Amino acid sequence: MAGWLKKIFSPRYTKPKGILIYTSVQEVIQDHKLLERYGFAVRLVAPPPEFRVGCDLAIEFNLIEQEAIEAVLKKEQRYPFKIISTKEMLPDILKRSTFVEIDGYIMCKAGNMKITIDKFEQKIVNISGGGCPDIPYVAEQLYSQKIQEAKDPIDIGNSLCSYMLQIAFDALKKEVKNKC
Amino acid sequence: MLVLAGTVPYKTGLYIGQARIEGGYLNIENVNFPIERGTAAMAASAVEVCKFYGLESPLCIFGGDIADGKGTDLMFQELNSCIDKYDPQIITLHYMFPKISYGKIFLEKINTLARKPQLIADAGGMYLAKTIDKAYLFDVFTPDEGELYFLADEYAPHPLYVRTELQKKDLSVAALIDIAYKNRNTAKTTVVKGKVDYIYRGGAKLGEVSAPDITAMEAVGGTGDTITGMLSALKYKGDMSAESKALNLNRVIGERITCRPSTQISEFIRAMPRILEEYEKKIQ
Repeated sequence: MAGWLKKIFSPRYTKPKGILIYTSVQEVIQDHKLLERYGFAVRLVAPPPEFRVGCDLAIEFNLIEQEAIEAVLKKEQRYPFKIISTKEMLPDILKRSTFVEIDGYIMCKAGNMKITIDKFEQKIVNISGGGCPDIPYVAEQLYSQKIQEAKDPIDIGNSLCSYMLQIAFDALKKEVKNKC
Repeated sequence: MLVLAGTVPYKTGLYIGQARIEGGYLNIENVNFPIERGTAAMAASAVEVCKFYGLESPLCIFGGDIADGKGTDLMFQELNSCIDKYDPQIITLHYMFPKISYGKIFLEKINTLARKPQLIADAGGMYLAKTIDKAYLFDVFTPDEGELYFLADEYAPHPLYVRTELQKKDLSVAALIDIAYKNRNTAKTTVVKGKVDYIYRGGAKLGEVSAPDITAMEAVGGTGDTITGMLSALKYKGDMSAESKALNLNRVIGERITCRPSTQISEFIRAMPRILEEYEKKIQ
């Protein structure tokens, strides 16, 4: 009975959303209109109390559209005070990285992303996993680069998959450095 | 017609045309796309399978997108306004920015077609279909095991936002499939790619493929893309065992080319005609 009551009164889990925070209502209205014009599923909401910075209006967006929204805002030179980042909401379980050695290569996995280097030359030989659209581009840019000299994945791509790749990349870089 | 739609890491623009392989590249209307990963690798695999069986080459609708979303816009604007003129039998959606508004219009447009095409989705296309709660309208999804958690979690907007409580449960593929089908968050057929590949239809297991087991394939970027490409072409051919055949072929290719962690996916694609020939001879 107690479990049944607990179930009824416990808060229902809802889909997580991202939020754009601004310092003025005017900016919120302008960017809301802009994002709507670009076809994004956005709506005006009150910002969470801990993020109130003098403006009681914020823009809520669907997390799956975060990368595209950030790209549009950058293109239009619009800069929110803060994007309550999906990166901050990532569960710790995904921030762990693991290593696998296969025939003279080291593969590092973080979340859904994998990066593999040649153990001796330390060159990136493959990047796999991830369905975000920038990953093929990021992989193309990093292929055959020495991991110590390669650009950070997150400087090339801007998706959540790129962020996970960055976690694997950093762990692998550290591993290589420690072994040298 | 088999229509393949997605973004490619290429300069902003819309690239439409029947694809062919030329000098190791995927050629669409005289533009060469490297086939090392992503949508181009998927399309090149479909081209090779279509060519082998004497089928019309797939029509590609690509958006050149260097991680800014512009190519996704162009691709969807084309799909959502002109898809009827291509008379599609199958549409495969691949890498793209999953923009919700486009996905809804796309499905509305599909509903207006005189002949409803089969819909296959992987990567961003699959994320989009699930996020707009229309996964059940798709015919095939090709998730990996991580993406299966995403399909099973009705609240997750991306594979990385699967609730920790669900991840910690370490559920079996069968249990995850069960949840995904109950919530109508996966396609009619779900092909789960992993150490063991599984095929489910309407929640019931149709089969699994586990051999040959090539460990190095996990490291090779694009091994999921080749499955989606071959599967799309085999479906277009009307092959009743398209799913298991695509999964089998991918593994056999890995074995025949002695796949190593440094192997590039283009080596898989180059070997496809030879392995398909061997495969067909063996069956006969």
